Amino acid sequence: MDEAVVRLEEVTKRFGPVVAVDRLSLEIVRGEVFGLLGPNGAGKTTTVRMICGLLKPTSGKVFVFGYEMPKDALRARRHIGLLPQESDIYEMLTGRENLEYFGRLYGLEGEELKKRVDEVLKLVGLSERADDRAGEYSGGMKRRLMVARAIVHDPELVILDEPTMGLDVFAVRRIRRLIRRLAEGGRTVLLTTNDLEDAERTCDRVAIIDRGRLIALGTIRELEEKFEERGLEELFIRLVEGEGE
Amino acid sequence: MRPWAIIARKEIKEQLRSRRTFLTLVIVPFLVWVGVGLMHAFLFGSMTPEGPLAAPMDMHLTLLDPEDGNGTFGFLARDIIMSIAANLSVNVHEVSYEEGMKLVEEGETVLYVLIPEDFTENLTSYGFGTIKMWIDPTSPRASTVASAIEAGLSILEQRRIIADMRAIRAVPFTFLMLSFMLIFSAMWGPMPVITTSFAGEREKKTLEVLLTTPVKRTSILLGKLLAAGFAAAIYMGSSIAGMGVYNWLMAWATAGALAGAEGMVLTPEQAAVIIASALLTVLLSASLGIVISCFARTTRDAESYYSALFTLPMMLIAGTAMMRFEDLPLALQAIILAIPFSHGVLMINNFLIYGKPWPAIAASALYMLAWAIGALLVGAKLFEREEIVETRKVRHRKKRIGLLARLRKRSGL
Repeated sequence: MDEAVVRLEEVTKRFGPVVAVDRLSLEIVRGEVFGLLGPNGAGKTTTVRMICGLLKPTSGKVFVFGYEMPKDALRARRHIGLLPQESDIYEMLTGRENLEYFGRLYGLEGEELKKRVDEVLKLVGLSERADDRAGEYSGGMKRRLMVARAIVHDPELVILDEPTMGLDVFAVRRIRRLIRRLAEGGRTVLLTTNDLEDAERTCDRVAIIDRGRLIALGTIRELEEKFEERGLEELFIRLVEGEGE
Repeated sequence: MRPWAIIARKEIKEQLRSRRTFLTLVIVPFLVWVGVGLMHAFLFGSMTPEGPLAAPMDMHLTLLDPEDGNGTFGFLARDIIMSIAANLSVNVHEVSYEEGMKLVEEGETVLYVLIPEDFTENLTSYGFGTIKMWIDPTSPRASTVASAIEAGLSILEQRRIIADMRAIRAVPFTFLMLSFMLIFSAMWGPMPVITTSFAGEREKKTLEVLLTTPVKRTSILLGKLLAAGFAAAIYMGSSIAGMGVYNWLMAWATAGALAGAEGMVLTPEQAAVIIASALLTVLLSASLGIVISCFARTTRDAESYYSALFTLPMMLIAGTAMMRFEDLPLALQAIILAIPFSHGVLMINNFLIYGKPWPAIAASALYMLAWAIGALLVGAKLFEREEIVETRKVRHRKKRIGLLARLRKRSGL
């Protein structure tokens, strides 16, 4: 049986009268690329934040590597790498210094840190500009550096919240390749996205949520068969619009 | 609507909806003038014999001119002093010479006047006499009364009277200036680092990544606090260097005539108290800065809150910096004592001017420390809140029920 890396049990998160996540239950197993899809405001980022232990569920439970979040967040976080949806880098530091800073916070040091930083810089294609101030990077380079930051400590669970948002086609392709490579290396990837092509090309399984509720879960093929639709885009529109109605 | 009007309307709408605008355009200028008003009210109000800020004043007087008929002018001078004092609402206590000098030595009087035993003899023989006055230079009121006495007695029965004025205590002007500047530097020094470090990280959303690392939030807080301390140390060092130049300029320009401008050598004890006071101020400022930053979404917001919060205490501190605290009305003393930043200045004043009352200095230090620790604990608690990463209102606001509705509910109507 597959081992659950992330388990959500009837998780609800309210912000005052707004229900951001509504009794969401799902499991993400080791080594898969799991896509959390949904329109804007569906509750994807809130779900990610609960998985990282940044937000506490109003009800229900979140487990990551068996640790309950946010109670045991410090233990679980050692194995998590996060790329938030809207984030930035420390512009006064170089790309390398950005990665070294986060590597150290995850307990890496000395040769191990140096080796790991070099590896991820190569992986995201920033080796040549590693010693330039990050403030001088283009938007795409910054985003790649953020991806590198999320994986610098070689986490078992990589959470990428809209990783390709605002990137050009080359950067998008590079990140998609990276996601697949992470999965091949035995890492679990949770990808939240609006970009259905991202999901189609990279995800093993997807969950579609709308207004905080889970409306579909499975492999893309399973969902196509179940709902008798061809292509994720058609399926997504039908399911989300159906929910809206 | 014309394009310029559409643009102006949109800009004004944005301004009116911004909390920062409200702070910088309404609160801060208002507080600056309130602060300046209070500062001047303390200073000038305490000099006046009447008015709401005039505190009761006591002075001491000794008449040594003989009572056997040879001291006529001494008695006349005493009566004039009594009359001037009565007009200025000052209570005069007649004491012996020994008692008077003891009061001066212990700093227990703000004005002591001595009419010497040869006063009448000198006036009649040489046409001039001397009275001696010891004045506390930190009491503007005592200085005013002394000046009035000097003016009132300058000519007595066509004879000249010289007032020999001496300071009860030395006020090391340049040291005090340096210390106050150091305190102000310590107040403002941590601001840019704290606001960038907290609100700035929040604004740039790097805080979310930082909070996802396996590092305790208290460790993050401590790291940032130390960085703020480092920034403040640089800021203070630079201020001290600047003050050194200032002091040198003062000594050069006044050719050493200004008391205290000759040297910049602090004793180890003085340096210890001044540095302790500055460090406590830095800690306090950084701790309060963390609390402020936890509420601000952007660096600019945090800076505006910082300015608004620090302006009034700064003005009050400036107003009370070089005047006798006891000259102020009790209500104002209470307000100043309640403001933790005042204690940095009070520590220095107490040490440099008022003869090192160690219990008072220690109490000030403890008060500042308690505030700093309290603010840090509040900051740590605020830092744990979900609002740090989630900008939506996380807490559910209870529906407000009006008084009438509550009464109706209670009475079951």
